[in-house]
Amino acid sequence: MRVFVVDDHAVVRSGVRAELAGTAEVIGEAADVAGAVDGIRRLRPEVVLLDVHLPGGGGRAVLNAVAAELPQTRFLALSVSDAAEDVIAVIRGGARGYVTKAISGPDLCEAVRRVHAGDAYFSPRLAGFVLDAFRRVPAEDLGLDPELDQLTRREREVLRLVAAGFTYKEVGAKLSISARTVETHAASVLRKLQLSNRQELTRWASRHWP
Amino acid sequence: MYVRTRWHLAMAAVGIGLVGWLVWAVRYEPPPWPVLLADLIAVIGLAIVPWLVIVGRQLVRVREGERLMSRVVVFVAIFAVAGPVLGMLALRMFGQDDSMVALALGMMSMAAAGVIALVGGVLTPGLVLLARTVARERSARVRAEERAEVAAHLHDSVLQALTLIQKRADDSRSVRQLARSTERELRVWLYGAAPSAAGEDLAAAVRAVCEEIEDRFDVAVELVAVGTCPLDEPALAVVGAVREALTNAGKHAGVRQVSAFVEAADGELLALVRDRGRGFDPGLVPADRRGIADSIEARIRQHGGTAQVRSAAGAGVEVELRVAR
Repeated sequence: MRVFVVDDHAVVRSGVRAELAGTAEVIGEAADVAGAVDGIRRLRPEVVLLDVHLPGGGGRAVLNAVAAELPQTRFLALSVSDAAEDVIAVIRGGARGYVTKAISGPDLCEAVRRVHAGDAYFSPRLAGFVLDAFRRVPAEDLGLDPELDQLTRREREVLRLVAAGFTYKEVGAKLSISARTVETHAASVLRKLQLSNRQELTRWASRHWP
Repeated sequence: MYVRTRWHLAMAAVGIGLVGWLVWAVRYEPPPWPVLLADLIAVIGLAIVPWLVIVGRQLVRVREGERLMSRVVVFVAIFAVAGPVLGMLALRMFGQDDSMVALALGMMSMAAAGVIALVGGVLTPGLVLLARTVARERSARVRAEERAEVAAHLHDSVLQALTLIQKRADDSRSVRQLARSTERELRVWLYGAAPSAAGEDLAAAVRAVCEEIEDRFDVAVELVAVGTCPLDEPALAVVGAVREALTNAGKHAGVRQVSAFVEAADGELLALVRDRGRGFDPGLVPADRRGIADSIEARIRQHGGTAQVRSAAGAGVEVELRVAR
């Protein structure tokens, strides 16, 4: 797997490089938006590890610049931030997953593998944000599209277990479904997250990147 | 093309000289009209344009000033050109008899151009520069205040913690503890998710419990809380049971990381606590060890909920609590 790392802290970049050794090849690094857009266009990596907070416009600016023209490249957001609106905005910008920088080495490798395979990767924290965003009023009461603006009961169960720190495999075992089915649920949650017009989501996304 | 300021000044001096000659010529010995026209244009070019350029350079970085200056230039050009043109037309239409009327018209228009150039060129830049200075001073003051606040906060929290960490570098437990509590504090400060005083609502109470456990047992609790509710009886029971589950994990699991999930949905409180530690065989727990039975199961059942503790040797422990509300 050819991975590109975007983070403004050299310590984080070298840490990620060390943790991915053996799983993926880090083909390039960038510390700001311009460098990232340049490098990604030039090197065409398969996976981009993208810091949410970057000098020059944030991870969202990188996604806006290159995500559309490079459909083969997948993005995994990486951050120390706890702010839900930042994370949701990057996911809505096209990232397929989100992990915190406190993530363990093996978990990071797993996340990169998943995103590379085209799956969604939810960290416990992101799962919590998503549950929060889709909570509240049932969608039909607001005249919203229940297909996109509401999670199914099963998706909710999956997210709860992910938020509690279970791996997809463990989630599958607990719910008596296959790991593949768990992935399908995760993918459909990601799709809803990116396409829904639900107020909480649009408000979060626009508050930070108007 | 860049022309030095001193050349502009020289050109302006020539222009003013020409104004003097023009006034003298019109008064005593009017020259033929093409000469007059050329002279008028030269006066405008030499006496007004250099001055506007010099002032414009001062303002080129201020967008507002630039806009004002370009308006001034347009007005000056209109009056300065319209005057002589009207004068020439009048000269043609009425013949030489009314040459004084035509000249007066042209001179008035020229004078208007000069007044606009002077007022616009002198007052506008002054006002704009004044406004800019005031705005700059204010934002500099605000920045300085912000920096002082940030510095004070970093000094009290991060700098102190780093000093302590250096002093206690060989005591890894207290270093971790310091780093964790400083991180928590900094997060609250940066992202404003100031936890309301413990005892107000479920999420805040659980967060406080997690922090207490982190400090007591040297584990990191990864808490995800979704929604919250007032701390009524069932919620208090959940908080107590979660504390007990986390305490067990901290004491017995032998790992540095525990996960906790708490959700306050419409009809139900759900809490999951899990570790990937040592685990235990529930069948082998002596009957006199009452921690799980009393502190977790009994507490939750009392409020009509269910508590499940799943574990096996080597497989970690998983506690699931559900209470209707």
